[in-house]
Amino acid sequence: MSTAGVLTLGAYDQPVPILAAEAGSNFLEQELGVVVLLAVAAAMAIIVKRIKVPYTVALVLVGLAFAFFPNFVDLDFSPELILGLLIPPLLFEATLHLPWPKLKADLFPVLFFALGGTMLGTFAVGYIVWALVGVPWLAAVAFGALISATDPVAVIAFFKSLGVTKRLSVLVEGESLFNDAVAFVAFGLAVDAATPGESFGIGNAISNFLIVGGGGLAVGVVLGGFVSQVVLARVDDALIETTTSLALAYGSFLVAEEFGLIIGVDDLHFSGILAVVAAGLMVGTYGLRNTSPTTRITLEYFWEVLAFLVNSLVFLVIGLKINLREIDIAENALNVLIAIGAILVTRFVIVYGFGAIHGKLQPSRRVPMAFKHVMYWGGLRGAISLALALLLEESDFAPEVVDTLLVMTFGVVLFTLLVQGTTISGLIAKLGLSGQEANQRHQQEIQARIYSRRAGAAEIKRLGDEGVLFASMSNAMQATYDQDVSAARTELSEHFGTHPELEVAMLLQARRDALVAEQSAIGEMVRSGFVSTDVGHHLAVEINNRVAALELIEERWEANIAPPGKLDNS
Amino acid sequence: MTESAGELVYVSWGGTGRGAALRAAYEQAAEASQSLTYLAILDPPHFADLDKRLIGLVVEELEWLLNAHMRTVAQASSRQVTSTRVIVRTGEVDDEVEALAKSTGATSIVLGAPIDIGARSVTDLVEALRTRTGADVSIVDPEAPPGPELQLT
Repeated sequence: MSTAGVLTLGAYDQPVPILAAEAGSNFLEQELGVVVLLAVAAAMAIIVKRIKVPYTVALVLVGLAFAFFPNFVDLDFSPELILGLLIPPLLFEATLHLPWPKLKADLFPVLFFALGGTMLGTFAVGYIVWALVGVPWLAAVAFGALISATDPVAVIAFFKSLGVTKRLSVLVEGESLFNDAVAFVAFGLAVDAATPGESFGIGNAISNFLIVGGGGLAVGVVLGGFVSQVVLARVDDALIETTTSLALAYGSFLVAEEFGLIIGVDDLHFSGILAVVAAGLMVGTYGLRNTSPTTRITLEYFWEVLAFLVNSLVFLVIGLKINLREIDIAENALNVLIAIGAILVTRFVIVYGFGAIHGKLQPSRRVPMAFKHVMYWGGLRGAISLALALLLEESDFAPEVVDTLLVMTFGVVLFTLLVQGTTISGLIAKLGLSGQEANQRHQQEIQARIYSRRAGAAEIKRLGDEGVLFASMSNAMQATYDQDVSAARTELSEHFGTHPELEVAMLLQARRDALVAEQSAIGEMVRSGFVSTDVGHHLAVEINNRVAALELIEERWEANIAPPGKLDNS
Repeated sequence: MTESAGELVYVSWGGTGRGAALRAAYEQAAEASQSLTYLAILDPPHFADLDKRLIGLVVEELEWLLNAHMRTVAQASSRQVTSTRVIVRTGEVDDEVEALAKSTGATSIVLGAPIDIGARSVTDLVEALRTRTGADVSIVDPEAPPGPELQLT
């Protein structure tokens, strides 16, 4: 039933103004847009598994494709939505991977690179872009800030698969986390200064930086500490703890940003980003320490999924925001090249220059030269830079300036992911930082040969047993296979005799595989009704505990074994 | 059955002395007809940040792993050690080695290399253990000639 100007919706036949119906329709369109993007992200995840390309590289390529079809989906993420909804989980998830004991050991170089490096990067890139591209000074500084935020997602994925030492991961992830936070604050100050009536004096900027940043850190420490000690330490329930961590991530952001409103002081706000980082570090250090392995696995999995979703949305949305059909490709290509040159030169100065100074200040924790090479070439840009670029739309910069900066940001991200992201694994291997040495690869090759030949022999036997193959032929082929398998086993035995250090790695891997098999067996027993769900859950928790303990053992052992050679040439 | 000529305690902590070192210790115990105890220590520099529950889980899993490792080494060797066992303890390396050596009357203590002892020198550690336990203390050489090959069945 409907009347002019009024739609009736729902079971109660309540009249709803047509405006609300339009809003609902708009909401559905937005929802459809998100669903389409998530479907694209999932499809990309499936494809990259087959073609062995980092996920973020694939996403940025799809984003680029979207830039040619800006009306592919009707989706309008407001800057507030991006800042308030997408950024907190990205940063919070990153903090959970940073073990405080290891971060503490390298806190000085991490902060040195993040604070000093980001400030230098902000102004150096800003200056180059201001001088050569010709955008206003504050817009150039904002660009310098947003492009200084490194995003190690693609690099860390390589670190894991290549077995790179944990110290390098902590240095790269730690620097990225803190420089994201610094970049946010610097970006905010530059954008605020561009509003009419504001100015950007150095003294003013530093005091604002300290108030905004310090306040944000304080809010995060207090809220993160409270949640860790009062909730996470006392409750052992995966659902409650995961929900609480989610509330903390968004809550710390909001409390910091709206601090003035809360205490009744106008115009006072702190950095929500730094609050999220501090809260996440508190949870990672104090909160998770007291949670059960099952909760820890659930919580980490939840945040991994959320980060995956947010990363995907940011990469795809930026593509939608750039309309490549309407921009001057030649002019923007030159701007992008200038921006790429600026970040490469600046990053070089930061990593090697600041690295040399740090080596003098803290010789006991100097960063090896091989690590510096990885930190330099692994300084990719990603979701944070893109998200900050999207925030420019709300600034007081002229629309054409915003468009230029958007394209430059996308171009830099594209370059770092496509060029640096796809060559970093080769660099890691060339520098000898890969934990998987030739010996280990050779061991895996022999094992794989044994496994595949046994499978071949089993198939020949099956064909023989079923009469598809002559018995004599089946027997002869099996005997030949047996000979191959025997030779491979002898080779493996000799290999272990020469490289006994591989034994423990093989033992750990086999134990991990065995625990996964145990988990599957329990799931099967529950499904078949052989054991009750309660018993199955109890047994699954036991195995989760085993897996968590195994991971801890590996982590601590790895931290103690220095990578061979090549690390002492700082 | 051969009578045991005392006990050899093989000590490892924080991931030290894996692989080659245990094999060498096993061969040394077999050569001297000693029984072999694998003492793995969860020392504060590596494990102090874990709470009791997690430490309990790590101890349990480490015992499982090291028993499997010890069996692997035993099966790969052509010689036999009279008896083997694995003990996982939590505490300072010096204290735990001394406590075990005194309770078992160990005559030989072998430290698995590479040795990670923070600021202390290896000589200091070896001397301290020698004084506190009265046993022979040595560091097994991971660069020693490879032991017997592992036979896969």
